Amino acid sequence: MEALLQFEELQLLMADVFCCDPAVITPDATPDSVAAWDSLRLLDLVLAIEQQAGIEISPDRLQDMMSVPAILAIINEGEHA
Amino acid sequence: MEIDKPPKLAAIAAGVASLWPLHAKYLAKSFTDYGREDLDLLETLADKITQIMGDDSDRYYKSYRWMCEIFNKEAFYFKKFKKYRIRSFEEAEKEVYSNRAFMTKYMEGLLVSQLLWKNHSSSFLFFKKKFLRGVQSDFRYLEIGPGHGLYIAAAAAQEGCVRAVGWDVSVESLRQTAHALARLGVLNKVVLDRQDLHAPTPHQQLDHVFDKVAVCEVLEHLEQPREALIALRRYLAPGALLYVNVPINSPAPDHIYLLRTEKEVRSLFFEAGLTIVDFVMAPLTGYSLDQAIAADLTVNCLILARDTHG
Repeated sequence: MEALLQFEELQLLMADVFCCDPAVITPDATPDSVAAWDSLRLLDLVLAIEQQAGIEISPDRLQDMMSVPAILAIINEGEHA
Repeated sequence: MEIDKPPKLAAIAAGVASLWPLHAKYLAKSFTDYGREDLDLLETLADKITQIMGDDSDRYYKSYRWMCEIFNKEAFYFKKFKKYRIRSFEEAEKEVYSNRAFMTKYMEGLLVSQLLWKNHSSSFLFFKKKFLRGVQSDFRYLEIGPGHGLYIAAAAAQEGCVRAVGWDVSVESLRQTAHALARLGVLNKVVLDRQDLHAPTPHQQLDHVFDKVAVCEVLEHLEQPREALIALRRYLAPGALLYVNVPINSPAPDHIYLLRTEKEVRSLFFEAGLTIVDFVMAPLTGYSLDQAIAADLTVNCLILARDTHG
């Protein structure tokens, strides 16, 4: 199954939401490596992802979205409403 | 240069970070901008919280983490739909207040947040430095929704406090307050009653008795906060000072009345017949006031007011 969102697309979204250079968003980035990544800006990111990928992410997954690989896995796991 | 954190405050922050490493970045912002005097006052708060937690600090820290995750879900709903998820007291009663297990964890989490959330610690500093400071003579204190007990304990311990009374509609909340006050050794100085401001009261003898009245993070739990403020005025002694802490844009599992702006808060007081004498806005941790307002994030309005006609 084709991924709903590729890393490069997520990278640009994250750079936009976190107001940082896309280069900061590495494939293994976490809140520790991105200064503006906090729990509230993560909500903005999730809303941006929902809009771009046309999916709905359960609020129960928020606490699991603590790295780029985890976010990509949740976006592309195919269990969205 | 960053000022060294006092020991009990630092121990609580370290305890939470140890249990929840991903929260360390947030905690690093919890005490920025505070000077020595404020940190010393917050150390007294940390001391009280430590006493209340006793040997159960890990459980309290877990409850804090649980509560933050619940709040995050509510914040997600709020960002998406621009409104609070629940709208009536009945819903809050069903989901939160009548659920003893939920309430216990919720109040344990809130206790820890009083130190770690900047909008909460700012409120305690305001309470101590502006509301309680400068008391010249004996005073009678009433608190609506004493919750974690930290404010009523501080008032009861203040020199000149001859009477301290706490009212709440929730038996479970009063139980938690009593537990905290017992741990702090001031339960015998406080009277706690189950009392609804709107209900006919047997308290006529308390009309116009209280010199200091505190209502901290209560109005947002009510369907009719204006009516509550009006009802409260009857208990204010002539010249009494009222402290209200009410947040704007503050999603939580039991917040039902949404205030969005400073203007809406000021209007609420004006319509209730109260004159604001001091108004400070305390944004959430890690955000300036301008940033918080621009993004519709939580800002606590810390207000001193008097009865316009009193």
